[in-house]
Amino acid sequence: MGKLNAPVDKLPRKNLTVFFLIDTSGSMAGGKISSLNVAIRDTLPMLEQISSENTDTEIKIAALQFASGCDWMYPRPLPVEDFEWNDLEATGLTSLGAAYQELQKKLSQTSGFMQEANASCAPVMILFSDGVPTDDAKHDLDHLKENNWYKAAIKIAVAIGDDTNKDVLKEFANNNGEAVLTVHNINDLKKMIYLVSVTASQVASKGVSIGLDAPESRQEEVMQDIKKAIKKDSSLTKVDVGADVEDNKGSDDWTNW
Amino acid sequence: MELSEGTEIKLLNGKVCTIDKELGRGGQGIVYLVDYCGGDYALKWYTKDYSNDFYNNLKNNTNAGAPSKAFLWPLAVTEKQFGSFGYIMPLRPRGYKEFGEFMLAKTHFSSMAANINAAICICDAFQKLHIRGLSYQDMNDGNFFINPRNGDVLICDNDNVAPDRTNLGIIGKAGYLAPEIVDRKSMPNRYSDYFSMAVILFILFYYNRPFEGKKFASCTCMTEELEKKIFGHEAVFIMDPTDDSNRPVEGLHTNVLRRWGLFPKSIESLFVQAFSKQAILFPEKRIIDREWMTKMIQLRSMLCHCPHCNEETFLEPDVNSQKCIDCENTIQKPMVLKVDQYRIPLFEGQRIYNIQLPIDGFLNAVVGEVVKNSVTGKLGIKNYSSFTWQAIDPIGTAHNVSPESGMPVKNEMKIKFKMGINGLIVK
Repeated sequence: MGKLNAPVDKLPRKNLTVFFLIDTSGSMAGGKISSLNVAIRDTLPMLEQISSENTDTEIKIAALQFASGCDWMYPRPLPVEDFEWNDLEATGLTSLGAAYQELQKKLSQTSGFMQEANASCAPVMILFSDGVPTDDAKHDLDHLKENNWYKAAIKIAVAIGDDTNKDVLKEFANNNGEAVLTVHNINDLKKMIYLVSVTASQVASKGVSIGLDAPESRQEEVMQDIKKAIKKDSSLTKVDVGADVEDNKGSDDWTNW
Repeated sequence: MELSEGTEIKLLNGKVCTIDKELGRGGQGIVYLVDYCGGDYALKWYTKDYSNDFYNNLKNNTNAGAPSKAFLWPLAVTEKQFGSFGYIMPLRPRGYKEFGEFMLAKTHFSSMAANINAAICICDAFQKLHIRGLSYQDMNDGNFFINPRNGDVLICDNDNVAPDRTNLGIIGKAGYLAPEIVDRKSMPNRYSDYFSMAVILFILFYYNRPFEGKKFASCTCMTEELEKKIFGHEAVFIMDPTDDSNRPVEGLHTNVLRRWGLFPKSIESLFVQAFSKQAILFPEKRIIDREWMTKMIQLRSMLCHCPHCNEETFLEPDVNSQKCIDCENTIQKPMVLKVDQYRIPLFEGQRIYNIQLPIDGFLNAVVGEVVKNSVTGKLGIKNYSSFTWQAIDPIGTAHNVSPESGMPVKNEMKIKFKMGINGLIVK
């Protein structure tokens, strides 16, 4: 084959890492953790599709679970097509601070965790928790807040039930109460895992939007899209958007599993 | 709201269409397969809110009809119903692939001839759009369907098309948008389209993006601010001869590193000019669609099969002793037909297109082709048009060349194709 018709390489794409930060403390045991496992497994093929069709960005996944300590599912973010979800089990405490510390460690320049040949997009960080941190998470978050990856990231927190300390989640999401979503049952949890992961990945993986109607930031765009989708889906009326007490209109029902 | 199967949607033209199934969805809305007048069509149904101005603009575009057959243009706009509206357009025919599939190396052109034809189709379509005083505004790799076999192009998402400098709130994509739009200093118009078109054409030939080089790759975390900086007025073309700060990176921007140098110098200079600092800063310095079109048509005439190895290579009309880019054997300089602004090397199989004379006809309509006499081995031009030419030899004798007959390729021979349309064969 001649040079003019020689095969070409895929255009280089930016990297987008989607971080799943998952509370696997004892209180998550049972329906919550098993639904979460199922929902993320169900979501990955959609993320894979978004990645495979996207000319700008390829999606990588990193999953960090925290309980009495914290642990990455794989030592490095993996391309979504290579990422196999290993079911998580729930037991122990809620060491959110330890998770923040670990995240901060891996997001530093020297760790190589985010080192890529091409540019990377601001990552997506989705935090799932159902409880109250059992360590000094605030102190560790203050430290994490100085990290540029964290600063640039699109951050969303999903509170699983009424026992969650939503102020903690709000603080994770840049004190943006809107980025805290509360689910009160298994079905809503599953749906929200899909909705939040897919929406955030879609928005984060596309090029910067410009125009009169363009949202101010990607964080804002993600939240606009999520809120709209929740409003449109009549089965999601029990999901609360916002971290304040008055935002809570649902009541927990974790029996259905 | 979303539409379910069997729903009837009323159209402004008094007809209805019936929803069959969803074909896909994007940021603006959902595309459904619909039955309309007994045939299969696509309905784009908006899930985002759009203004009355947007709706009226869509109606105006629909009434005006498609600028060329390359546009999958709105055929009918729906009434406002079920809380939204949409429009009907033709379905993408079989055999056409998304431009993104070419970029992700999932599909490829059958030949460089097909690749160049795609560029010509794009230039032609936008030229016809711009003549109407309209601009496309949000041009990006998602708007094109291309047939890899022959390079025919279809353009979708034509709901963004609006009169110059009228923006109906459509969002564009950094990397394709002109810098002044990224910097929010101007409204989209045909000059910003020229910029986006140059980006598309660059990717079509070099399979890398024109502003993504070292500077881009070294942005560890591409924030929105950085992205706007790299694609705004500070953008640096990766092959800018006067600024090497954003060169392609070895091992990353592999395609452009391999392909830059394969095309005629005139094409490289064209891209250098299209992405020069002047053209980035001053929209009126950009290469306009007509010039792109001329250069692409000239490029098509320079593509030939090497007589030694039969691979596709380029032959510049005014350069002596050129080498095949593959086998590197010297190719004898052919005689050249000068007609209008084109210089057409006359090698066997070369076609002379209507558009080069210029006379009316489809984009790929041919008036003549260079053929080789099987007995003498000499080259001649066969008349494939429907009219008689006159061939005037150097001593002034005129010979009629009727359709389907031929004339010899000789130095200093004039061809009067039609009244006022003359060509000259030169060595």
